[in-house]
Amino acid sequence: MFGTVPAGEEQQLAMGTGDPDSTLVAAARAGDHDAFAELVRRYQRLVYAVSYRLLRDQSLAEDVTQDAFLRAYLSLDRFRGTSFRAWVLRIAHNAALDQLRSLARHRHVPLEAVPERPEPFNPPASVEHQGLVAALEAAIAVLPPDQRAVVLLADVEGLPYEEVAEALAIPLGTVKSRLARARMRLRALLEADPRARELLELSGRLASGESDPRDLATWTQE
Amino acid sequence: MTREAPHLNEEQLALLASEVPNPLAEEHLVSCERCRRRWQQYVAIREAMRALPSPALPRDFTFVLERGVTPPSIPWWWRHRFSIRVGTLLAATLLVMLLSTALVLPGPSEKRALEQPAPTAIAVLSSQETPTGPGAGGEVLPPSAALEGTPMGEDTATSVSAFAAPAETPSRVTPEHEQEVIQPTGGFSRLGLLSFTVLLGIITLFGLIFGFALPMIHRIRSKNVLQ
Repeated sequence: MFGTVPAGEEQQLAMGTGDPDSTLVAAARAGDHDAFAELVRRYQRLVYAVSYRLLRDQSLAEDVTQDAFLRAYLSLDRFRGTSFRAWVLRIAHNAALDQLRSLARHRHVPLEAVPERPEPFNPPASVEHQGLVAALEAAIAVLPPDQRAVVLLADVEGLPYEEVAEALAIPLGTVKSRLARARMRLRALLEADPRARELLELSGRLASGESDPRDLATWTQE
Repeated sequence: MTREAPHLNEEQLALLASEVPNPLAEEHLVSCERCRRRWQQYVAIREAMRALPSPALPRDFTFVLERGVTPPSIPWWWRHRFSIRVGTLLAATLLVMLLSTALVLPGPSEKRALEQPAPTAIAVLSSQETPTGPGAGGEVLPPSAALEGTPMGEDTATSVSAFAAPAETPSRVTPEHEQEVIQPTGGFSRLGLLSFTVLLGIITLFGLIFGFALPMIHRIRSKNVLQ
């Protein structure tokens, strides 16, 4: 059981922040295991995916995901943020960084050069698509950890900038600058990778007039 | 936007893949093929990343709760730490005030010394105030006579009466008497004050431990857990 939480505080948690998980968080803090299990079910895929892409290792990603939820569960009374999702991601990101540091220490390689060890994903639809996915995954894996984390959260998982900033405990401006640098580096890497030809063809199609820059708002509304 | 308008820099173009451009940037993208092509590359890369397949979940992580892990209950001192801190500060302030007062004000012995007249003053007072006339209680022997060892005779009565004279005079409350009278009350008040000071000291110590030290350790530990 969780310790007693003052009724007012519970109500504040449940009603205050606009976080869609606030009711479940309040219930979990009051000792409702099912409520916390529901939170785990909501975010386990996201936490595991981010951990996996940060670490490039299935068993390590499993450990980090399990550890993140366990820590979140044990520290739920100290959660004071605005988003449970960002909070869990932050715990997972810190745990993943610890793992990366440990890997770098034991293997005597810098953080940026942690070897890529691709694990089987869900089978892609076609060979071309498989090539593109592999090229993208490889390019993301080459990014430095700080840029990789921003790209994973903002571009791959589609989190808003504010939540990315909260999850990584960095200012909004830093999120944008890291994201811009990461995209620039990704573009350069993909340009040099023949597996990304499909992607370049797509941008060629776009360049040939299938898309209008005036439709930017449409592109960004996801 | 004219043809001479400066190109958007690489960072701006990279960010425009997920942001709505301002009107100037939008106009430039319409008119400048080079920037538009680059922007479209960023958009395409972002779209491809959004479409990346998620790695399959190796297992259900809700098992975390099925392992019988129980979160630690919130300690009572953590819940009441703010009221403990206020109480501690009040007790500490009162304690400091009491101790400083005790140090500045004179103690009972010093007070007695201050209130007691000097020996010369007593002598003067005695010579002035003690009745010396007939029927007023007898004479006071000069000190020289007393020292010379006057034979005990008829003068003895005089001497005795001389020593008894103060008893016969109307009782005058001297500071010594006053001290004797108030001695028991003063003792009790000093004892009470001492107990109160000790109590305040204990409260302050208790408050420092449970209101400040333990919550600080608790916070550091929780930070370590989350980092």
